[in-house]
Amino acid sequence: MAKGWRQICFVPTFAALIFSCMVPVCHAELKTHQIKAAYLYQISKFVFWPAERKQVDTFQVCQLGPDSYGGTLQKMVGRTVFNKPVTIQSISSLQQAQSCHLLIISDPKSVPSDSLRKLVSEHSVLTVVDGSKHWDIGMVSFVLEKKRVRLHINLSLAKLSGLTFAANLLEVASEIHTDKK
Amino acid sequence: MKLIRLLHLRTKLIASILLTSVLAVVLTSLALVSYDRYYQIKNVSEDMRILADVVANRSTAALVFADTHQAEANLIALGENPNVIMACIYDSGGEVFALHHFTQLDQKPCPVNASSSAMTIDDNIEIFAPIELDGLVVGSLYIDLSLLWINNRWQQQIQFIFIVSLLVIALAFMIARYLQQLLIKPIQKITSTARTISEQQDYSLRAERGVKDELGDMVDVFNDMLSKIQQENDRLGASEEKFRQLSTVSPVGIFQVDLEHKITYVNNRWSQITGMEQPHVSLENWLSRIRIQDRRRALKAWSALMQHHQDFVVEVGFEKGEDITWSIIEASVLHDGKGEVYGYMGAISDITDLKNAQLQMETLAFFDPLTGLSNRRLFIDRLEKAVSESRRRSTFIALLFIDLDQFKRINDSLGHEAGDQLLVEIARRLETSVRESDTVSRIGGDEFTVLLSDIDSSNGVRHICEKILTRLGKPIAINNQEVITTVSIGITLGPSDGDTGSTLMRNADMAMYQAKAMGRNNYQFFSEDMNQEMMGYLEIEKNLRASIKAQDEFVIFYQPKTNLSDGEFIGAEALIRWLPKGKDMISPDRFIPIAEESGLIVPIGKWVLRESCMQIKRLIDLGVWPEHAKVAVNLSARQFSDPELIHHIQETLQLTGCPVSILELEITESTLMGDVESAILTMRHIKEIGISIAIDDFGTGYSSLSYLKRFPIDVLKVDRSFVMDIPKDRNDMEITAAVIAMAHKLHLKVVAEGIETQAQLDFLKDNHCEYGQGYYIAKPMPMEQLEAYIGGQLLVGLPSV
Repeated sequence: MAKGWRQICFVPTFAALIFSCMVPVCHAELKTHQIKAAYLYQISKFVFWPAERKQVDTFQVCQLGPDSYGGTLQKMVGRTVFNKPVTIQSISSLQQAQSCHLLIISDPKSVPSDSLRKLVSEHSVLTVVDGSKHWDIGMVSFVLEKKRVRLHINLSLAKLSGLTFAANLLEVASEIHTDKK
Repeated sequence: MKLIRLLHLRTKLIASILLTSVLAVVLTSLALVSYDRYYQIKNVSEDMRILADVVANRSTAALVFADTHQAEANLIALGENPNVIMACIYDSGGEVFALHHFTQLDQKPCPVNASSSAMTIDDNIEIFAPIELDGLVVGSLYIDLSLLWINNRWQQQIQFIFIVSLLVIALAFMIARYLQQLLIKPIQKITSTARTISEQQDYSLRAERGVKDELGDMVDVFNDMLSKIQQENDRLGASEEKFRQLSTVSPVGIFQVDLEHKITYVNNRWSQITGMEQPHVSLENWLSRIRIQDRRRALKAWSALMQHHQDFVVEVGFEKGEDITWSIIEASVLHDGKGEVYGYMGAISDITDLKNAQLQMETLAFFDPLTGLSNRRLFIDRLEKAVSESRRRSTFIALLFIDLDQFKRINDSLGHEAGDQLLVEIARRLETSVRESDTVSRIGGDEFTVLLSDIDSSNGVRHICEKILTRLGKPIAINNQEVITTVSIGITLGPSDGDTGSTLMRNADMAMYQAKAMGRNNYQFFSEDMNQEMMGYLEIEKNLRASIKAQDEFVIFYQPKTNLSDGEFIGAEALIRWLPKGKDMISPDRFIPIAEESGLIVPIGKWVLRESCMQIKRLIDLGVWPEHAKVAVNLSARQFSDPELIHHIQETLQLTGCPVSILELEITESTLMGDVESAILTMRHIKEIGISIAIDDFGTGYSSLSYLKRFPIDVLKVDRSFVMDIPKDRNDMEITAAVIAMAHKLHLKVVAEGIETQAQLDFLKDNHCEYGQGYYIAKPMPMEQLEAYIGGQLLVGLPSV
């Protein structure tokens, strides 16, 4: 177990730097929030948005619902995704998520599946949820498996929103959902 | 290298082919193998690099999302390549994130310096590939690839090359052996032929030509060379045969000496000359037989030849018992084809006969063959030596000049053989009259000299001269007749009279003439007076030459001749007179002998003849000269023997227009007695022209009656010496009478000279002498007086005689 944590702890230095996950901190008990936040930023690098979604000034990270990252998301501000500075925005409804590139849904139960499917199919929004049960809402689900944060990916939903996932990302996903599945 | 040179050509050939083939195969194979190894490594490296990039790229997510399982799974994919030993993934901090060993044995941990991306090659290939995400390095991949398979492959290739090389060696050896046969065979044939020729000396053999390539050409060239050698050999053989024949028949001894001084060749003639039979004797042995006097010179010449290669010619004698064989040895060095000296060759000629002849000639050159006395040349030499000896030792020498009186008369009357016998006897008597140390020589026909050395006083010389006069004065028996001969001796003393040989000879000669002048059969010492007189002679001779050139210092006086019976002028004798300018007249008695001696008498005589003819012609033209009168011109002995005489007389007569009939030539008796036959011939020529001849000074020349009979003469002139003593000397009167009588018997007219008294005139008239000439009749007179004299005679008529 310790090894697994250490491994997680050693996940790219730059990630540690970005999130101020300093070496002394690594020895401490890292909060799952921080790892997820680091993963969130890394995932954006393995996902390819359609070209028209890149014709913007900022890369918008939107949070629907309460902050499930314990305020660690703010660490992303100042970084860039496809050379666009990252902005964090809290929204209260799905309608506000049309301009978002990445949408963190902290309460998936409150979001109707159809509305979300409509939104992502129309606006290419990468949806991220916690837990393995809400894979129909989140294209990427952070699942805690053996105390390690693992990824579950819904390829069908991603395909619906016009997003492409790098094969590498798929390789590290512990579970991948498709239409056939 | 030395070893290689010792090898046979065929071994070298095979070895070179084998070596070349194996080297080619090995080098090519090694190059290929090396290239293959390099190429394989490069390929593998590149493949692995690409694979590493792929795996690195694929492992990005696994690394980023800390998925070690996925990372390891990615590494396992590398196992597709069986040579991959291990692979590692490092995180950005260099820590090992994942690793996988592909072999169970010898598992190593991941290397520490994972950050390096360089690829190192040893027995393994290590590849480091960065794992990047979005331009940032998030980790690295390490792959360790074994090259064992390449080494295995390389070993297999080497084995293959080894086997191929063996095969190549075998094949190359077979080819080389075949080629060697092809190449070596013709060469072996040439070698074999050359060896046979060398052993058998048979240059007619030829090498066989089996091939048509360059080797065939070589055989042809070799055979051509053999032909040339054969020709040369034949020529050499012929030349040597020629040399041997020449050498055998050569009158010259031929020898050859090697550098060790051994005589290696001689011909027969050499053996004959040297008396040495066997060849191969040493040079030293031969040269030791040269007589001791010549040996040193011969050895020196040989030494110069051997050391400095100087050719030489030496004359040496070989002693054979008491005889000496004289030889000339010539020798020079022998050079071989390269110009190196390999010996000496020479010739020896027997010159004994030549040498003997030379000795004989030397004897002849220095000795009188008749008397055996030294001749003039040797005498002069000894005289010069004696002069210098006396000068050095302050002694005196005496030179006696001896001339036989009247030798010519004896020679003529008794014959040359008797004359020779006389000379031999005189020589013998002279030799016995002097000391052995004195030199007696015959320097001319009847002239002898005696050189007396170490003289104490003139008395000693006087004593010897007396002895000579006494001994020579004794009768000598020749042809059963007793002949008495006398000599005149001239003496000169050295060095008081002269300090050179030539001066002494001249002095002695002068003294001898003085002795002759003193009436013969006596001796005279040279004196300064004689010298002075001689100087006077020389002065006169000089002046004579000048006067002959000028021609105006001579005049002709004419002494009339008359008929003793009636006093009629019958002619005149032309007599020359010399009047040098500014000097008194010089008597003919003084200058004529000098003119005779010096030969000046010839131009003088010519002048007299021409001048007389001219002057008498003028008298004829004037009508003064009587019709039958003759002008008598003296002909000297030299003129008489002049071959141009007749021509000259004719020319003069023609030039002057003088009639031949008025000319009479007077020739002295002694002139005619020189060469009687030739004199008769000359006189006949003169007579043929129409000129009458008179014998002058008759009675002084010992004319033989038999000769007189043969002389084509007209007139005899009785010498004044007979007339002079008439009537006191009865002998002279009888001789004169006999001469006149004899002349009449020979139908000759007689002219008596030197009539100075009436008594003489009477005696001559009593003895029927036709004509007379003398002071009593008329003195010699110049032309003008003669003209008057003849004119007076014509007017007055006969003088009272």
